[in-house]
Amino acid sequence: MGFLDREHSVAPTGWNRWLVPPAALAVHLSIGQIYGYSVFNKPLARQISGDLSAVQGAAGDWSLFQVGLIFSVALFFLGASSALFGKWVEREGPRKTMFASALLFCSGFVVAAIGVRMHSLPLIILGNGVLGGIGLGLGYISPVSTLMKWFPDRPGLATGMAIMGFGGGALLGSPLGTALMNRFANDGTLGVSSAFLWMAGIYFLMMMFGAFLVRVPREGWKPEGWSPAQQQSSAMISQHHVLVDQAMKTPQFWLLFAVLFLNVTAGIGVLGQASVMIQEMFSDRVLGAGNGVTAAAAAGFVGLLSIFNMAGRFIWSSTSDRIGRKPTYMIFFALGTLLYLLVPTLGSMGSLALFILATCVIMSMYGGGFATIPAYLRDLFGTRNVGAIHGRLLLAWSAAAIVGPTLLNGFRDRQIAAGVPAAQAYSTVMYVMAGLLVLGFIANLLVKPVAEKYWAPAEEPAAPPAPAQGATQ
Amino acid sequence: MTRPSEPTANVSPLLIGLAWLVVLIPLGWGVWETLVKVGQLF
Repeated sequence: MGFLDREHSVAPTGWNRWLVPPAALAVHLSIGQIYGYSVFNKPLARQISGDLSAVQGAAGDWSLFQVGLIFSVALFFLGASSALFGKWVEREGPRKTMFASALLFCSGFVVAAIGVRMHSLPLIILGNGVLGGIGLGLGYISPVSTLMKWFPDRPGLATGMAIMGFGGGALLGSPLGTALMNRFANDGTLGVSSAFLWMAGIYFLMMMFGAFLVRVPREGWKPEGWSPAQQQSSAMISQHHVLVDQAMKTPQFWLLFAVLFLNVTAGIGVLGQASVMIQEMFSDRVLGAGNGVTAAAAAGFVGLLSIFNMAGRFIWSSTSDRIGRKPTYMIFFALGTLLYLLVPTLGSMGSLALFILATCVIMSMYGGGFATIPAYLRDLFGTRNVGAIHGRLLLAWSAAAIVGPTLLNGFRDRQIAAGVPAAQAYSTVMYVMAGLLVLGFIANLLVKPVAEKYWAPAEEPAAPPAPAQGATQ
Repeated sequence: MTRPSEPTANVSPLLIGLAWLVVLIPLGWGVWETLVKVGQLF
């Protein structure tokens, strides 16, 4: 198993860095499946009745709320494992980490498949939630920090490529899960256990492809014709490194924690409820009989949001290389506030097209927030420990995954209980989300370069610097 | 100064193209399937 070690994954001379993004994408496309997990929710909740068209399950069937726990547990373990194992990931390198991630993520599917056969929800939660969630955490941060080391000249583009894959994972995982369940519909579990086993195999191959292909640049490598001095023009880009434990003592870490938390909370609020929201805001009662948004059209709307979520990861993150990380988040928070304030008005005007446009832009900035944060961390804390620091910061995601939907559902339910029509019940929620984005704007505004007292001492190079042409672009 | 024992690799553009295809084909299929659903919105 020595080939998994970091030293065996150091790129030989002549290696091309454009081979590394496909390796990262292979892992992120696989683990991003978790965002498409909802296709299994209803089949899982109808295991006893075996009737997918039934509104209510039979006695002994799990509720949709219980099944939804699998996703929540997976996201919790994503954040916890990336925070806990970040240092290990940095020490052992991407190949061993991707291998471990593949083993955990895919064995999670196998355990869950057994759980479905035995009709044991705890076993499914252990498989897809705990094992899968730890695999998610390891697989998420490792390719990101590796790509930033290969693309010091364009870190936003690099992180955008990888994290776009995570967004794309839902687009792939959702139809793949549906196709597999349809293919094996007669396996006695509505196709779920067979789909899980097939997904374990397919994703394992895909992630192994990434683990075999990935390389780390040798110490001192930099792209041909590029020098760190070219970035000196911005005070927000540090040429120094901050170690992970030190980073957590800086105000910058906690400000970025707030930035990510608030951006994700606001975005999840829309994403999690998009289907119901568009149907209630643009129902037959609002638009006239026969003109309301149907369930099928609402599913199309969710698909459109997913595409903007994915594209925003790449577009905003690579844009941040040109305009800077801080201005990028300024746009997210300022434009996001404006759009959230506009959404209720667009709803009351019955302007469906403008509503779709506004929510798509919001979703692009939600995705962009995920993809730009590693490059922001790298600017402030340097590349040496950026994977581990990113891992700790992802706890903000786990927290937002709980707070966002709770906030939205809580406000909406309270409004409806107070007699507010369903179409208008989202207005207060949108105003609260806009308020959160204002707080995010302030947090981002307060981010300044990290003070010198937190810098790690400069490392003596272990070997003479490699020639600039050691690997090609 | 170069190190004589350094391994070298000649990466052909074909290999890079193939590596990208391995990830872009499944992603493209996923995007297409999603766009078919999006079609129902309009």
